[in-house]
Amino acid sequence: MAISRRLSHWLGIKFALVGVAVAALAVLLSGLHVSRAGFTQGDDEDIARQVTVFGVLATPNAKTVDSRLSNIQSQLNKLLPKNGFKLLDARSERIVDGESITCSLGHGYRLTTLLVKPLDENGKVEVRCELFRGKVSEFSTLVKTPPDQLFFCQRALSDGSQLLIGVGAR
Amino acid sequence: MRCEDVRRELAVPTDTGYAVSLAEHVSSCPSCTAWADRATRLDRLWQMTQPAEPSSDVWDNLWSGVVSSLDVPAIKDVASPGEVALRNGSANVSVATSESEPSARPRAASGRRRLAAIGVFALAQAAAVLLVVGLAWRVFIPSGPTQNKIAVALPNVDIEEGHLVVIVADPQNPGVVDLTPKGMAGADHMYVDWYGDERYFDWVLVYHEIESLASKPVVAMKE
Repeated sequence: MAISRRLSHWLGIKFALVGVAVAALAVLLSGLHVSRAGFTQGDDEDIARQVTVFGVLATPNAKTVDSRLSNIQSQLNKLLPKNGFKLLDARSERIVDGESITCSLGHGYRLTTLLVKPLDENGKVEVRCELFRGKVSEFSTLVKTPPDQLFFCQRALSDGSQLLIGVGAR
Repeated sequence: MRCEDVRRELAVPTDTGYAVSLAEHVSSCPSCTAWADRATRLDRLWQMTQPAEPSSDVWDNLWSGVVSSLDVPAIKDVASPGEVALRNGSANVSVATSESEPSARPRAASGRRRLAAIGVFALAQAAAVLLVVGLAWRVFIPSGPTQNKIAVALPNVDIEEGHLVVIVADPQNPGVVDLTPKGMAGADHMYVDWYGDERYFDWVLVYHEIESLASKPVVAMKE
């Protein structure tokens, strides 16, 4: 009686292990990955970057400027003279390599900025910027930028306005 | 008659009075004659190798066996008199348990076996479901938008210290524009940061301004 009970326990454990292994295999096949959100390491300074992304809609010959952009209007005018500016979205998050920030830009557009390398051999931060309209990728580019320095991506829209995207990492 | 009709009639006779014309066609058409011969040989072979049809008694015995095998565990599962007596707490406990004891062990063992079988079956089902879901996820749902075709392919961009770079992503004229004013080095609007790097002061201000804006909620523009 005791032997058969022990045997059934062993069988149960074995079947459970087989089930777990098969489930793990299925999860691996499904291509799911474990999120690294909340993952911290001791040398967090080396692997994490504060990435800032913002999108501005520039409309030619418009005089209206978003009140939130009034402090930087003169700089924006240097990039795109004689335009009105509207802030679409601005995000700033501390992320590690492999993580990304997504900025919703309206009109079905969204920009995803992926931190590829927090610091390369030349002291630059590598990010991949990709603009989507729905599920279609409008453009994608890998940028190596010095820390604490903005760069911009510019995309003309069908109505003649421009999508101006600023990205920086520190 | 056409050869096609003749062969259909030979394969599945319909008894529609085509016998004469059928015979005439077969006798005059060598192809249909050969086909009819082959069909006849096949029929003969089938007749020779056909297994004996079981009699109605055999079927009756089989079904009664199936029914009885289905009924026995159901009766056992309902409850033995001993178990009923135990549950009711009546006086005939000892008699009832002594009757039911010989079959208790095999029944418990078979119950465990059945539970184990159910467990294995459930695990196999769960694994199969997970596998199918995983494969479906992988096949039908793209793993990421980056796998989509990119409308504008831009080169990798390497930005130098203190340079103001705009990446133009227009389908007609993609490219990278350096908007750093000429002779900027040493100018008033450049400054040297703590690390000794030259910065274009105006754009550092923009950077800080945007960072502070990003901490406040921003509503995306609607069409």
